[in-house]
Amino acid sequence: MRMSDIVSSLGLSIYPIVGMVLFLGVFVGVIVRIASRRRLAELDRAAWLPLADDAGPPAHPAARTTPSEPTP
Amino acid sequence: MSPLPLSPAPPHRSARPSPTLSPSPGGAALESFVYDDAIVRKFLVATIVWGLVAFTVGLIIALELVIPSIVNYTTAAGTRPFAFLSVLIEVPFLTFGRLRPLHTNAAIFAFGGNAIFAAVYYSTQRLCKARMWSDTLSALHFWGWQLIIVCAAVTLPLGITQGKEYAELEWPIDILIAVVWLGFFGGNYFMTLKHRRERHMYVALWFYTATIVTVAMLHVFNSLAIPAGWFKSYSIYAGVQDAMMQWWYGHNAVAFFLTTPFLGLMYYFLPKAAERPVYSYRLSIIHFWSLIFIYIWAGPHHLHYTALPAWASTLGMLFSVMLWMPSWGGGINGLLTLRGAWHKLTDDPVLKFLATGVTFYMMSTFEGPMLSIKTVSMLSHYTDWIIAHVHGGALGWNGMLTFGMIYWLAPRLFQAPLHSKKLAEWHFWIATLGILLYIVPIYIAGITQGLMWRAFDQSGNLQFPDFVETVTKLMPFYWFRAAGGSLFILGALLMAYNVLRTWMARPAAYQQPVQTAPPLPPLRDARPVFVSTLTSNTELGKRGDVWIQSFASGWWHRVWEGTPYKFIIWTIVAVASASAIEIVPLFVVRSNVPSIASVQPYTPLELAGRDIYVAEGCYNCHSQMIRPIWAETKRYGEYSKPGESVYDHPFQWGSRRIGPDLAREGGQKSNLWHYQHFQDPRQVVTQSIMPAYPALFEDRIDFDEIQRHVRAQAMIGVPYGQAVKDGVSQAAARAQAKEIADDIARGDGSGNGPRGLEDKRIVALIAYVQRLGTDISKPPPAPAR
Repeated sequence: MRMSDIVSSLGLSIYPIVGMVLFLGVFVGVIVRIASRRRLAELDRAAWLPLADDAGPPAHPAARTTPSEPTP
Repeated sequence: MSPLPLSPAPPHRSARPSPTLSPSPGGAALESFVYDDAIVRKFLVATIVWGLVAFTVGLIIALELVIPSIVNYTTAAGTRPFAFLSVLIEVPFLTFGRLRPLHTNAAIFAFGGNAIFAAVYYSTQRLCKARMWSDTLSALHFWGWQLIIVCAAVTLPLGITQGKEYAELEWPIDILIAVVWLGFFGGNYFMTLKHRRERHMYVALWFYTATIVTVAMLHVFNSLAIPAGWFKSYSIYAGVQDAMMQWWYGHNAVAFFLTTPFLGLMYYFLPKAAERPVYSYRLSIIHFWSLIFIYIWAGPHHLHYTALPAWASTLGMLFSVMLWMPSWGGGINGLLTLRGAWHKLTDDPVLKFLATGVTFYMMSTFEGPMLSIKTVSMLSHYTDWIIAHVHGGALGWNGMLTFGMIYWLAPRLFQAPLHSKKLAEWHFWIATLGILLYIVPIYIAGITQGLMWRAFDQSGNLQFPDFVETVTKLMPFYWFRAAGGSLFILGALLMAYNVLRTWMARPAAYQQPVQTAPPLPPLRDARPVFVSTLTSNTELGKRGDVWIQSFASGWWHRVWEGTPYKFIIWTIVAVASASAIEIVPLFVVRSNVPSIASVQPYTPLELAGRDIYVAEGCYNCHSQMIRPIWAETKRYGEYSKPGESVYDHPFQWGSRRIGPDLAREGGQKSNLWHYQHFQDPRQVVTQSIMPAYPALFEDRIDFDEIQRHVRAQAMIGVPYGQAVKDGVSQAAARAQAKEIADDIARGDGSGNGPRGLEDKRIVALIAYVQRLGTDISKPPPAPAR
């Protein structure tokens, strides 16, 4: 009797369906959580994070040499 | 001066929602820190240098496929002007089989790897408002990774390989990779997350986290092997199981090395360059979790119609098709980030590169799911279609995105304006043209060869029974490919020059601006105070009420979410559970790999021959897997069964047929034919493009090594019985070698064949090739007494 014989006789055929339900559940959960209005402001703020470090000093020399028109 | 009327101040200054970037209740004192840009500069330079190496090796192996067709060209005057090129198809360490792994490893891990690290080290510090946790770990990571690359560049041409695609490096280097990746890189990265000064982890950091965790898991499990010396090991998996592990790894190398970190890069650098936040942050979160959950299952689509059980193959196909949607969601998210900034594309080479990169991402992620459909795979598998697909992805997505990042970073890192924007524009157009000139002919080549393999004539016979016909047909396309690749390299050279000149204009000392930010308050401060409003209840009831309020408010989830550990754990759960569900049944359910009684282990000499087959990288051009398709069984013979490769550590099913399948090669031709074929393939197949292997006719077999290798195989479960005892394998190998050498010496029957081969390596290789696929037609062995 080998390990593989034991596992083969366990009748695990229901588990793919359980797995699918879990999988869909997690996916729907993520969507619901993302879609909640309460989170919107927080996520909007998060979206600006990559641009945050531009705001402060230093001005890059590269930025200084970029031609830019004076803004009114 | 911008020709366009719109050159506004960066919109975020006015448009940003009321900023609370550093919530510091109680007005915590500001902390000062300096970003470590020196390490980013190092990775940036390494990316450019190794990129040039990887592309150049690619060009060399592209030329190696066309050189054999011109090397014997003779002019009217009797000279052979291209004879000098034969060095590329005769010198052992320059052959296609050895250099192709060098090309793939250099492109993925040296060029791609260093690009990822440059992106991660630059963006993580800024997104976390923290310097990398340890300068020592940063340095160890950088130099450790370069050492690994150098080791790869030395060992692969020497034929030191584990014989599994993109995982060829031998076990000591594998251990080094695990230490450098998880210990130095992962340790440094996760500690930086822990000490960050911005609560929210931006989505780019999620992608980096998933990359680090998953690549570590893939690398460790796929590379498990038993050493048989410092430079040789055998995978602990065999046949079907090894194939499953390999393509679980192989596909996820694409997913978690060439996709997720580059998506992190996209989500950081594209908003930077466009000066706009990402189109939809919500979509980026869905993009992340869908990719993590789904990608990990997709591996088996590399094994359609092979001996892999059909359920695994179908599972891989379904998940691959599902991947189309999140991939395009992410791609659209990237492109729409340019909303209102499309005019900048005309003026900014950085945005040109990034937008083109995302476009190639969308093309590749449309094509990938399509190729994973079984009926499409039936045509495309083993052909150049796959080569075109991966180069669209690698050159278009990874390459263009990396170039865009480099042009954006170089002026900031070297603190000097980019030497020439015009040159960068030139690079963009040359590279784009190069990619198209590469992939379009190779698509045509792939589909052409696939159709030729399956073409039947009116009498029901194969229309192109000579395999070599289907190869010579491709030569014009291969010339175009070499031209396209050359253009791509030319573009990269322009970039190297541009960055070099930018570096030369750097200031005498780099400015190191001091940043300030308040530290994050401890997470427990986030807990609100709850008071029970119940009046006529017991103390227990009120406590329960408080607990329910507390739970329902969800504050704990926010706390949990704020720690990087939750994230790491979820990622591990997502990728590990999926992997386990897909892989474990192959190991524990007997019916997945039915055994065949007549299939026996290789003899010691055949094993030595197999080692040569692996070392020379024969699997890069020859498959050993006949699919149950009429055109294939007609051409090669009985289709391959799962039980046939149970002793194949590692499996050698291959993924591309530049030469014919060898699964049933044994006994098809004489030993003498193989002798002549290995000496110079063009002696027996005039149009062959296979390299010659003169070294195998000089080098002697190390019989002592055979004994060691048999023992290592026995340790991983190959039933070698008495052969593990001292001297037994050596004697058996010598006897079999003599038999084959004598047969070759007989020549055409009159004894005019070459002599003195009893101890030459070529004999071992012939012994192996003559064994291939012969076991199933033998009677099963008599039961042991």
